[in-house]
Formats: sequence, C-alpha cells, structure tokens
Amino acid sequence: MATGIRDKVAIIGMGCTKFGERWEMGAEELMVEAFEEAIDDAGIDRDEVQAAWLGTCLEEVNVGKSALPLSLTLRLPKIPVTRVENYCATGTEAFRGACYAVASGAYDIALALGVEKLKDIGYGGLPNWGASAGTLTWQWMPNLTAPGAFAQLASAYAAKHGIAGNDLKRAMAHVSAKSHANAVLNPKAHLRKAVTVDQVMASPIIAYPLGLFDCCGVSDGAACAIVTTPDIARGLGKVDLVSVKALQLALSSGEEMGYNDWDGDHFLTTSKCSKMAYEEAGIANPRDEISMMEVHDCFSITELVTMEDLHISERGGAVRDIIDGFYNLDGGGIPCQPDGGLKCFGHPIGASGLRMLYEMYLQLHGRAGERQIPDPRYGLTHNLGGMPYMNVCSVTIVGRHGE
Amino acid sequence: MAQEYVHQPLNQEVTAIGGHYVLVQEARLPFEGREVLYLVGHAAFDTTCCGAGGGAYALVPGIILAWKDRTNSEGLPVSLVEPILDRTIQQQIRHLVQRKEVVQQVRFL
Repeated sequence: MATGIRDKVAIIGMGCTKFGERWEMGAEELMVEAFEEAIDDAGIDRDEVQAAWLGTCLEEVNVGKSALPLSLTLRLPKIPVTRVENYCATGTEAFRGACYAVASGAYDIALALGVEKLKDIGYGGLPNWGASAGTLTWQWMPNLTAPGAFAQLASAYAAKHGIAGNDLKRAMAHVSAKSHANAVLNPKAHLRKAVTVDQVMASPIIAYPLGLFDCCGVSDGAACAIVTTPDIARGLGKVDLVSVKALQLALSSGEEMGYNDWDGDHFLTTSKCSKMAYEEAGIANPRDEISMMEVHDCFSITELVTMEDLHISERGGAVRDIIDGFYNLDGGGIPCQPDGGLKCFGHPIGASGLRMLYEMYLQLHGRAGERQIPDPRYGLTHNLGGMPYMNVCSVTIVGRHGE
Repeated sequence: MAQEYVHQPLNQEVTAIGGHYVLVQEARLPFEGREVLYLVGHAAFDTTCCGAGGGAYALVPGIILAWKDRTNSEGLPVSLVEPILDRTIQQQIRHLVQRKEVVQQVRFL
C-alpha cells in the first residue's frame, strides 16, 4: 500500500537567480548561478550529487534537447541526468523526480534544476509551437490565446456566482496589487514596483475582463533544489529540516473540453490535486493549517479561482476573502505570493515551480527578510500549465520536518 | 449609484511585467445636459506571454456629479461620478468618444 512521501525527503539546499531580462547571461550561466547558491547552502561537494533532473519547457529555443545542457554546464561527474517537461509544472516535475529518487532509496542525494531563457529569441511572448506541437494540439487549441481562454474562465466564474463584472475586476485588481506590494520587498523579483488598485483598474484590456496587470509576462531565470533523506541531512549537520509533505500531480482527462459537465468556472485538476496533496500531507483543514502559498497566477483570475480549488476559500467566496485581505502578507490569513508571484517575480516556465519552493524554503528557515511570515508551518506551491479546459496541475506541500 | 473616481496622474508610465500604459488625456464630454468624464491612454504590451501589441484606449468613469472636490490620502484629486451601466447609453457614449478619439477600446469603469 502506498504511503506517500511525507517526511521521507529533506531539502538541504536551494538557489534561485534574480528573474528578469537577463540579457547578460545565457541559460548556462543562469543554471550556474542557481546551482552555486544551492550547493553552498547544502554545504556539500558537487560530486556528492548522485542524480539530477533538469526542467525546461521550450527547449527548442532555449537550452536544446536532452539533459546534456545541465550535465555539461555543471560538469556533473557522469551521473544519471534526466530532462523533464510538463508545461508550467516543469520545475515541480524536476523536483518530483529528484524527490522520488531519494525516497525510493535509489540515490542518497539528488538535484533538481529548472531554467528558461526566452528573452533572446527575438519575440516578446512565448514562441509558437510550430511543428513541435504534436499532431492533436492544433485541434485542442485552435487559434486561441492564453488570455482569451482564461478570460472565459473569468466570465464563467462571474456568471455562476452572480458577481458583477466590475466587482470581479476590482477583486482581480486586489490580487495584482498585493503581488506587486510583496515583490517590492524581494530583491530577486523581476518587477519591484508597487501599484494601486486604481492604477490596475485603469490599465487597458487584453482579453475582457483581463487587463494588462492581470497577465504575467515572460522572464529569464533558473532555480535549483538539492534533496536527500532526513537521516543523511542530519548526518551532514543540518538542523531544523525542511521536508516534503506532499507531491501531487493531476492532469486533465479530456472531460472538461469533451463534454458538457464542466461549466468552465474552475479547474477540475486543481480541486482533485489539492485534495490528494492534503491527504498525503495529513492536512485536514487547509484554511487553518496552511501557513503560506505560492500559486500559479498566470492571470489574476487563475489565482482567484485557485483559492477555491485549493479548498481554502469556499465556492464563490474568494472575492470576499481577497477584498478582506485574507491573502495579503499582513492580512492575518494565508499570505499568497509572498515573493511576488509569477506576475512580479517572473515566469521562466521551467524554473517557476522551483522558484515557488525556494520562497517556501526561505520562509520556513526564517530567511525571507522583510517579507518573512511569522512562524510558518506548512507552505504550499501550485502550478497550472495549459488552459482551463486542458491542463497540468501540481501541488507540493513542504514544512518543518516531523511536524 | 455614485462612486468616487481618483484622478490618476497624466503622462506617467505605469509599468506591469508584460508592458506599460500612460494616461495622456482627461476630458469632459457633454452628454444630454450633463458631462461624462473619460480618459485616453496609450499602452504597449511587449513581454506578455501571448506576444506583443499595443494601442490607444479610453476609460469612462461615469457622469460627473462633483468635480475634484477633495483629495485622497495620497494627494490625488477625487471626483464623484455616476457609473454608466446601461448598455444602450454605453453604446451612445462609445460612439461619441470614438468620433473624438482614435482608440481601439472604450471601457466603462
């Protein structure tokens, strides 16, 4: 019988580059920057890493195929290295591979690194998949933009819960203003600039009701984690361990886009994935037990709806929680996006999942500086890759070991 | 239902991670014996996930009830407006604004 991963794996080192327009660096230099911080933090030698996972999403215009970009860049000593990709959950997928490798007993120490370097490709947004899309993708996503698809989520949510358009828009503006305020406190964030709700409301529409400040951008960056067993971690002299409580993944089955049962107002995957994660972590009441979160705010509406799919706000109740400041850094509830989130820390796809874990790790160790959350116990990270009607969702929970 | 409109500074770039906008004009449009406040902004979306673009747009806070009769805690002037919720009236005002300004969007706050 499966027993899950709770407390079987400890994170002993993490690193994260500054995200942003890193014109001065290539993907290789970003990987080195994240790795050097992680290996220093772990206090081990590079040759003690026994296996590694590389996460990168758009490798065709980025590092290239295979895991060689990581093994060559870090001069890893001819060990198993695997490259993984799973849309925006790619970084978390790399972390999952490393954790399972350690939990299974196959390796003592493993590394996960996520990187994306898209600023040099000559295009502002994500590149078109072109011939790399696969044979069915153009039928699944015909002539569709991400803002267009997530705008439909917003409209469906407003219709289902009877929320006036401008009321939802103002709640989404609070989501963005909160993340901007948090990023001001974070020296590694891509955009450190506070904005007011009124400034967000005055921005132009990208796809109604989503405006400029409701959408995340594209960044360069890398993040890295080194994991081992709690026993080995203690043998290395580590105290106050941060361990993995849950690692869950849920992918669409096709029912959302194929049938009429789904009303388009939330994410079936996140709702199920978070339940599986809470069960694995032994969390009965997430609203009371989760201390902090980093969720996938590709669009403000994604964050708002995710609050409900994580079973923290009740259905239709996220707007009220957001307006009440429940998710603010100093709101007395569960701070969400303490590092600024995708919208301000940035979104180099392959690195984002690990970047979220980096913030949870810093917070749990009391190393988050001005944005430190008092005495956190459990931190949750969430990625959502794809579209509302067809996506990859990951939920990871980390916390103090043994608690 | 009256609501406050906080006047945003003109000609100041407001930057998001995916682009930026600048409000360049604030205008009062005569409409059926009253005046409608609208603003014109220019925007560029240069690093959004969906690509690059931009354009000019208009925002319509509503019919002016009181003009800059106080300031908020940040020193910005505040007017009292009546939001325009009626779709037919919105359409009439949209046409009037688009006759005066070259904008791709007219949005009612």
